[in-house]
Amino acid sequence: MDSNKFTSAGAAHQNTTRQSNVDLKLKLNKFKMLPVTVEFSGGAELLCGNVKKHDVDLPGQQNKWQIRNLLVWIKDNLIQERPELFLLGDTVRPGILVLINDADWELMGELDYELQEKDRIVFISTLHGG
Amino acid sequence: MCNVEDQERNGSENLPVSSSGKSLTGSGCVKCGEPGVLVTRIHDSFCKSCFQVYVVHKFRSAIGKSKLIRDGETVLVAFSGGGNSSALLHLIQDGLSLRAHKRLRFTPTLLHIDESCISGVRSDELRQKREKIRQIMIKSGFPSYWTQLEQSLNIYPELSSKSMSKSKSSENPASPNSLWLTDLGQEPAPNQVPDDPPLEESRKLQDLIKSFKSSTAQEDFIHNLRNQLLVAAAQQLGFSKILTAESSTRLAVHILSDIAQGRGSQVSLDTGISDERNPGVMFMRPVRELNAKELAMYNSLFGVDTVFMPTLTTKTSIASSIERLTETFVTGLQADYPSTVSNIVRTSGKLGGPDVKRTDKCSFCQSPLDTDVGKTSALGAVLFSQHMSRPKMVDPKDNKERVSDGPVYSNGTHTPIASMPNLKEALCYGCRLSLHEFDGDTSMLPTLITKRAMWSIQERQKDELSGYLLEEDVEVNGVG
Amino acid sequence: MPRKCGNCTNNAVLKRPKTGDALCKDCFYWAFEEEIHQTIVDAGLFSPGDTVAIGASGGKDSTVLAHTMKVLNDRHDYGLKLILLSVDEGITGYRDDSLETVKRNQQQYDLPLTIVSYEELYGWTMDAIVEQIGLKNNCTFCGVFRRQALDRGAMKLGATKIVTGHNADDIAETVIMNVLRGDIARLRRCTAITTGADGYLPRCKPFKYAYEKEIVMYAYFKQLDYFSTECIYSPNAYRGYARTYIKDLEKIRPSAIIDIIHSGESLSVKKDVKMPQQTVCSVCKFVSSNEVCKACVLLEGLNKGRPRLGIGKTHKERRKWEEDLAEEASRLSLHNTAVSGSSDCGQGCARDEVNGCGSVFVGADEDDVNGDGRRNGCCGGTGSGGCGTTQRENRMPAQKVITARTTMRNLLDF
Repeated sequence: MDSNKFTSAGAAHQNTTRQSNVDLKLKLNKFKMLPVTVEFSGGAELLCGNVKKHDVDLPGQQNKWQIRNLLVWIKDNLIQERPELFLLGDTVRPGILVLINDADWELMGELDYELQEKDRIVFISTLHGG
Repeated sequence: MCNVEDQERNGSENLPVSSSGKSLTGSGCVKCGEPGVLVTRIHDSFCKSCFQVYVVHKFRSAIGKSKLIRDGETVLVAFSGGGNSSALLHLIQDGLSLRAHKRLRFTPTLLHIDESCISGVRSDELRQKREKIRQIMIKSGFPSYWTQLEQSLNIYPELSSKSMSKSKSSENPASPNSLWLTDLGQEPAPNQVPDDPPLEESRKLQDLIKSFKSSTAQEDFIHNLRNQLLVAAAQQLGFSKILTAESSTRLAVHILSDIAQGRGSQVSLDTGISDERNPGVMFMRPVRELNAKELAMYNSLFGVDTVFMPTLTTKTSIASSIERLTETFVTGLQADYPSTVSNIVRTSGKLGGPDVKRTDKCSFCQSPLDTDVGKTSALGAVLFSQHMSRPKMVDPKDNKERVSDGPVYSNGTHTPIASMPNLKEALCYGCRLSLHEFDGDTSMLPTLITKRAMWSIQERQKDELSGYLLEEDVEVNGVG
Repeated sequence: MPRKCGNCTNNAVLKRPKTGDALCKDCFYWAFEEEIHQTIVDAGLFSPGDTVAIGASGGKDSTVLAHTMKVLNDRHDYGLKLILLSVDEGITGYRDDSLETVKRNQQQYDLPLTIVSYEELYGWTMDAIVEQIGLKNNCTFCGVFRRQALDRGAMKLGATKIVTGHNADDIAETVIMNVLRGDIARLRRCTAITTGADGYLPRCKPFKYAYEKEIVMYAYFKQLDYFSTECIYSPNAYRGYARTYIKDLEKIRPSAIIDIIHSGESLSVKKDVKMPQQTVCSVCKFVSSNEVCKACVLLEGLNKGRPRLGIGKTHKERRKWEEDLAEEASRLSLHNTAVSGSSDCGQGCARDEVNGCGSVFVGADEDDVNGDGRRNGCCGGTGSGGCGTTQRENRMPAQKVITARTTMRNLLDF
């Protein structure tokens, strides 16, 4: 088994967080997965099958994970319907508040913020009532 | 043609400035320098405790400035379970707690209106949400009531004509309504748990709503229905004030959508600190100086539990209704021009309201009628246009040309609302607009509207005939 | 099966955006024209014998306006004398073409035409202005100047009223804009069908309730000649948002435009809100809310190379300017006039009473004795000499100077 082959193969399978992959990656100690928590509320959870809290392991990759690519990942993996109600262009729709570890993302660099392990990203929709 | 020529005379070209994209990363709190947790007021950052002080201050000053709530008064708080009303509840609890600086001097009673029938779906998910809301209300420790939107069909309007008010005042001021309002504080009995509303009633309401042809008209109708239900419930329970939790963002959206629906005269009532349209019951909006982001942040920082109930236009496209479109417009503009919401709300603050003590009010929303505008007006223009575009039918009795109301569809039928042609005379411009899109039978309309309309028309006829009637206090509404 | 016209028995060719009714061509023409007639009559816009200047830009609104006014004037015997009045802002490419259209309109409708130009009135074309200040805020200049240009042109022709082609969409857009900006004063005025009074020309909008779509349809079916293009100097981006919003609203509910106008008409302002007072500009005598009217302030800025004067907070800009000038004065140690409190420096320079003398640099070479670009003996516009201060105290009106670039001409000259 060629270790190179596995590394590139591991990076290619983005969706699945299988135990075997994790073990392999940890063994190879390359491209660690990034465990973060993504939460939705204020109605945004309706777009994710009504699940408010998602503990995810972002697949390891060469470049750092930023909010920018987290959004793309969320669109591909967590959003089940009507992505246009969540995203607009490469950022979130106006009216959706983003908190990184309980702080306004505007104070953390918005899209450029680099994710750390165990970060908690919360998306709160302020549209529509209350 | 370039439309700029209207920049003239006083020439203050005060266009809002776009947010410069200034980076705020790592900014400290503007008050104390601690690390900030959010950015608001354009580009001020606040730390958690200074933010709390800020929010509480805005809440207390909105109430205090208005000087409308007396010490020891009990007020009804409309609680939907969503973000805004949860924040309001938390602020009230916080303000009543012993450690609060200058405790609040009123006590709240919570009221929830179950609107789950609108989505037309009866599901476990919705039941769970309802249960959660009920838990939150009980946990608050405040007296709590539960009712359903279906009850709005059971409201019997209170008579407020001049002749009746004298005799009424000596009686119990509460209206003769008997709405179904559950007191959540009592021991839970099998039928006290907020069940699904009776199927029959839900169907009736759903059919009524579906008879409005556009989402815009449906939303507008539901909005007014909800308000009237709140008023009726308050009257039945003996409250004279209702607190609602609209944020400034929500109000800015409402201002524009009101204007877009011809409700310009009601803007100050719909969005000001208080609204006294309804006799005996006043609405107040204590969190109107806080925007949506601030309230959401407050909830998040202080662990406030919220339950999101889907509404009519949840998950629909952006242009499904005027309210939705406006919301997208305002929040989008706010993102680039952070003073948008405050500008809009400030504008409405400068608008005067119509005199709410007038007796000619809309039979539905109770706003003073704004349709007495003469021929040189938008209303006059529309009527004339209709006149020019359709075959004319002159009603010889009242010599008014009766043109078929509402859009004429290809088969040219009259909408059934023509069977009660005077109904629209008793409605304001905005309610007329919504009713235009109603193609059900007038018997489907809530008694609330039809009764009031009938009374107001009779009142008007009586006025026209005054001086010729021999009996001074002839009962106009004989059978009632 | 084709739909029938709602009014007669012919086949319908269009659906009216305003009411959703289907009409045939002739019924539509009739409805459109008679509605304008009704608006004019109900609002009492004209009296027989009025001379009415039609603001003609060559665009669809003004072409249809000219046509309709002519038709109604004849059909209903208004007894009006109609003239076409066009403004040349001096924007190459844009204005040239539209002016050609207006000239053709003159032929087509057989109406007399007068053209007034910014160049002639103010000494600046829009091209020159944009060159000076770039593309930001140029709309401010154009708007202010155009408004005055129309008034001055109309007065020159002896007109008693001006009509413009503002349609329902324009007014709705203005209402929304004013709400967004928090401009209470304009919000109150913008839905009035006639604006202006107090001795200045009333300006009416007979198309106030006419939908833009219907105007376009009318022009299309009647094959009226018009020029439609956007101004090349990008229009106000903020207004674009309001416009998009209105268009989207119209798609959801076509009557929204009229509804917005109704809202605008029903708004009332609180009694204690301060409204700007109307007074007269001290320089050019035109009506103004301030001591010096906006056009004069803008021109002053242009002429002295401080084009931001009049944009944003005037007093801040002016203070900054005075600081700069004071600094420069002390650096160059100019020879100031004696601080003797003499009441008149007597140099005959064009004065703007707010700034003291020398505030407008007049480029007539024979006056430049020292060859330093300034008048002999005067403070050179710093306002820091005794002359400038005294001028302010004595409040002498601006002298009229005929040179290439100048301040606003006194209104009475026309």
